[in-house]
Amino acid sequence: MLNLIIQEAIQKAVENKEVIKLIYAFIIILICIIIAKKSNKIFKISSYKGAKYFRNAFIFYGLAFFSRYFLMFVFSRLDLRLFYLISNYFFEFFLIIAGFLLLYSLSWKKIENNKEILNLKILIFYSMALLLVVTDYLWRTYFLLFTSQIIIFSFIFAISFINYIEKGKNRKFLRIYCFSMLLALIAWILNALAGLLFNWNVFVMILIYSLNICVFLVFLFGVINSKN
Amino acid sequence: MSKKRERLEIIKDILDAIRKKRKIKPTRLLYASNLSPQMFKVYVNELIEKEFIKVEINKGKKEFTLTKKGFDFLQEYHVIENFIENFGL
Repeated sequence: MLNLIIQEAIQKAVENKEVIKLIYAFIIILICIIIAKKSNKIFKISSYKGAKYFRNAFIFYGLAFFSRYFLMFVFSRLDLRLFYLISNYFFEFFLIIAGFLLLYSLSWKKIENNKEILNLKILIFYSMALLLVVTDYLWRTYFLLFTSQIIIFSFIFAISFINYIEKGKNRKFLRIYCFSMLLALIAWILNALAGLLFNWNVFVMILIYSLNICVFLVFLFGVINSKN
Repeated sequence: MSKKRERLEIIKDILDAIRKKRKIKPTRLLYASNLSPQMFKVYVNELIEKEFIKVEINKGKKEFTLTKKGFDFLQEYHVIENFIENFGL
């Protein structure tokens, strides 16, 4: 009985693929806006650089999802192929930058020198993201997007795991955060498999969407939980 | 042995010391902050630059006072601390 209900739900999901994508993007963009606003407030009050990089990461995630799911949807309906392709490469660029910034927000204290007037590392991130997008464009693949994100999230998971081991006793959220970073890493590995081997299999994609929503909800919970 | 104070905690202690006295002379603030003179200078310069505190000259002597931004920081300190600690920023 349950099996039948699940099968029916999946069947409907396949039929309404575009609607599901739009709802999924809407949820993620809404979460990104809330996180960016809250972290912006923290940065404005404290001038703490980690909060700034964290805020920027979520601005770029929001932009990435907007480009991928709204702009590309509109351009495909209007049959504007060039704009559709450009939006796709913007999506890739924003996503890579967001990943870099998220990782940098966790590691900037060990790297950054306070006396630097111009932050060259951020410029390097932008250049690297651009290089990866251009190379992917020339190769007609997402290989470098997937590879870069898997590497970035491996580091993010490792750092959050170390944070959990060091401070997890006093701060319960670090355990949830570390686990959610593992989920994010799994989501990127599945994304790579879906894109490179399984021709964007619908079931794998639904699993990835679910994982991503969980990860973004954990971020949101962490931001809201800061008030307690 | 007590744990080394985090940067954010030091800033909070400096701002808190100023708030308690409303206006405070550099030497008194140095004692209250429990920092070495070199580190004290670094922190005070940063707080002035970020507009958390300002310097006023009273009868030819320097005094530190809090700005609105400094007050806001103290009021939201626990939220800021939780946010930073939650994500390990």
